[in-house]
Amino acid sequence: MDRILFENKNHRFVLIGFAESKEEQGIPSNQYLIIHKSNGVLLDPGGFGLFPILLSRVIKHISLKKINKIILSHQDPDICGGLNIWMEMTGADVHISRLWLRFLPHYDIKDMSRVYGIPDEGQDIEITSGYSLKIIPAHFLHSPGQVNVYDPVSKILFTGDIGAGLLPCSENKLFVEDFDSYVQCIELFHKRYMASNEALKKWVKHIEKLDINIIAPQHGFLYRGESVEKLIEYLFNLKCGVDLM
Amino acid sequence: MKRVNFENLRQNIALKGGFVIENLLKDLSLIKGMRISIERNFKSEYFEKSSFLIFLNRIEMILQQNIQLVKEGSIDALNLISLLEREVVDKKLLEKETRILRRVVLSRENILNWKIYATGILKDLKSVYNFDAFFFFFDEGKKKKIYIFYSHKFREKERQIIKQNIKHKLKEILKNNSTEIEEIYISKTGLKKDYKQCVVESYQFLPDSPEIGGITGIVVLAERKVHRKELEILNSILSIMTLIVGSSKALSKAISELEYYAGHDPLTDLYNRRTFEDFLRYEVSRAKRKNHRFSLIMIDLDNFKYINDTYGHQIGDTVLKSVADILEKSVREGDLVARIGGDEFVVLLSETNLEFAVKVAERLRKNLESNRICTLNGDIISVHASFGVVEYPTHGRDKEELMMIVDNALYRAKDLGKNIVYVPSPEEIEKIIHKQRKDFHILQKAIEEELFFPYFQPIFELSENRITAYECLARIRDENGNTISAYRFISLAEKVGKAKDIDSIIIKKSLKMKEERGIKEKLFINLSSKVISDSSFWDYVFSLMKQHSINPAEIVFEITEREAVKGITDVQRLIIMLKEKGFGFAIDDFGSGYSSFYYLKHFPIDFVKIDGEFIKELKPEDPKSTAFVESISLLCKRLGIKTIAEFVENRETVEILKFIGIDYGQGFYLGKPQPDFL
Repeated sequence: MDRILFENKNHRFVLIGFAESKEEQGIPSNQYLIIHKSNGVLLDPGGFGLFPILLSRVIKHISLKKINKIILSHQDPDICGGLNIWMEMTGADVHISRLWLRFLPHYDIKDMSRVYGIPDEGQDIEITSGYSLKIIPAHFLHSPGQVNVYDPVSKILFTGDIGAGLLPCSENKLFVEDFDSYVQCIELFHKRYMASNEALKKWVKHIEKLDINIIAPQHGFLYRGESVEKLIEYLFNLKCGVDLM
Repeated sequence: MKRVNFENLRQNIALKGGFVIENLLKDLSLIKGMRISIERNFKSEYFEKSSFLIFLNRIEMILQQNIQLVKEGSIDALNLISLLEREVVDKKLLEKETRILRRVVLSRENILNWKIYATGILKDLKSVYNFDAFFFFFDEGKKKKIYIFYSHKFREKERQIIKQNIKHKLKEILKNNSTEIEEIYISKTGLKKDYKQCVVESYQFLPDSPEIGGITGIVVLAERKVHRKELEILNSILSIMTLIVGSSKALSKAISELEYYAGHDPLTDLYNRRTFEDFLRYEVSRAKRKNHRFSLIMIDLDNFKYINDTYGHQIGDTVLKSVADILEKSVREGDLVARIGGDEFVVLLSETNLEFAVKVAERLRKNLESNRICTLNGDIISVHASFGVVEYPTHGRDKEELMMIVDNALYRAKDLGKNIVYVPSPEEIEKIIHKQRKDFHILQKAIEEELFFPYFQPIFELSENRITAYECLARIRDENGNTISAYRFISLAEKVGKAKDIDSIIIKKSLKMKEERGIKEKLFINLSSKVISDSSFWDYVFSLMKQHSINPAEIVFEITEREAVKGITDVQRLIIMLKEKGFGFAIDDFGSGYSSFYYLKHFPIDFVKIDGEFIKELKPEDPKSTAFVESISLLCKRLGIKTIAEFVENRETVEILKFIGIDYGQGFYLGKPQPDFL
């Protein structure tokens, strides 16, 4: 399923894949496309198995030549598996934490000169003059060099694995309707994958300054309204990873 | 056409193209690895390192080219599919719209409830394009109105924005005048919208009828820029709605007009008799329920016949119109003025007592009297009238009683010298009511039980001395089995609106007998004035004619001269209609003081029945007594109209009539009315 999450005259934030990877026997994941004045940015485009589905949807919104950037939240294969073909098809530059630059050639990347490292403290990436995406560090959540992407126009925060839920996919639902009952879908994953409560608190400090309408993770439902606050509060207090060893 | 899933098609191409590119990329990365190992480890004595590298470069270049070709080919194919999809979407839209158009059937019901109808169609159109509002602006001469149909139950804020934008769009036409707005919701669900602009597309239509022009418009609260494609959709929806609503509204106006004239007198725009009687019935029941009084004024012009005879009926019409205006202007809002006959009017004053009603009647009388009408050749005409006034429940407790008493009061006013207002005295009422109540009771019973039946009086062709026709006369058989003339009941029936029933019964029975007896002579049938423009009555008569397979040429309808003069236009219409069907037509009581030679010339009349008064007075030695009959005979011969003399009571009269040249005769001397044909 694809859905426009935000739209105005020169800006669109589109969910182009939602829990599509059932065929892949892999983890269902979400992919996003941001378009600002006909400049496209792909977030975590996913493995090769998803490429046909996503490509067929992306092309409804923007021509491939206009996708200038691909931003990766971390190095996992569910994110970088199809990177090679996306780079080939779009001609886009790739941004990923500098920690993971050296690993990318293992995905058979043809042209590493188009891959850029993101510094540890994050950065603003200019998409077109007057419009930049904020790259926010989320180290050890779950990987060192993990980043979030914040779009200041739509006020959507892409969090990668933070807030990710493992769920049976539902066709009609997209947003968390009742956070308290949804907790069980995210709890196990966060306790096992997220490094520590300290890391979570550091991340919360980074993002609590932002005006957030939607939190868009890479797996499971999206958060909006009061569930945004509830998620942040929940994570701020969550004991996980090394806290539980 | 098989339904194509464009999404799947794109995915297939992306999958195959992507698969090839992926493999080519892997080969490239293999080549890269080979190049690195050759660079590092090449120690052959037999081969040049560079030739390997040349070979690898060549492969690498071919791979690159192939990647490029597959990539471009896939992207082209994907774009082409998207383009096709858009075209098909347009085609689907067209199919949807066509389906909606097919449902557009303008039934009478749809037309009269155009708002409900439009709501239904707009619901359908919502599936084609999600508009936010639709508006219709109608300019019907004096009335300007905007109808706004909202697709959802919007908040006040959105509604204000939509209204402002519509008004802005119509500002040229509205020109700061306040226009009535009616708001209608297509669905009851609410909707909050995050929108950036309000787009209004509109279309003006001006059908042939000048009275109905309008503008339809569609409103979208757009969250982003509206594309050219969408505007095209909007405009196609607009043209559908314009077609539907424009035509249904125009037709609805036409039907409203028809309905208006069914209840109104086309000449004066006042209510007609039928509507007045409905109102009166309703007013009686309301007054009974609420226990209050109301009054009725009946008005009959005193000198109308003179005006008609002197200046022609066009001036007559002008006079009637001006009388109607004066009456309307002289009463309060809510009082009802109707024209119930040629020069007869009534005013219904609801919740008004007698004392006040008399004041109103006096005022009407004075206003009429002081009114002056100027004719084309500069003559000044004044018209005056006699008035009868009654009050409910003092003078009558139901519609029929009130009409009876007020009619009597009016004729008392005439007898007392005209141009006065008359209120019946209690004794009078007692007398009338007593007598009429008895009559009324008999009348009602006679109608219910069909106690009316026809008597037939033969009409002789004088030169041949043989029966050529019969006149049907109404009789009643009372409870004792005695036959009495229906004459006095007919005038009562006319007053209380039952004349049609009597006419229907008599016609039914006469035609049945005519068929049963195999009578080929003509039948002359009298019509009361109330059925002249009653189409349901005529439908009934024509169905009887079919049922008894009677040739219309064997039926002649009679109307008295008095009635004919009163409603010249209606009578003319009736005669023309009857002539077209092959019926004959006669004017009865000709010369009884209302003669207007005008209609002899202009109406296609077959027979003139000369008033019996002239026939009774015929004396061979008195040339004066024959002058009138002679001149009528001469005139009718010239105009090709046959003459019939009534009241032929002796042999002498027959001789005189023959001598003058009158064609037919009827009377006691020639043959009395009988319950059967001779």
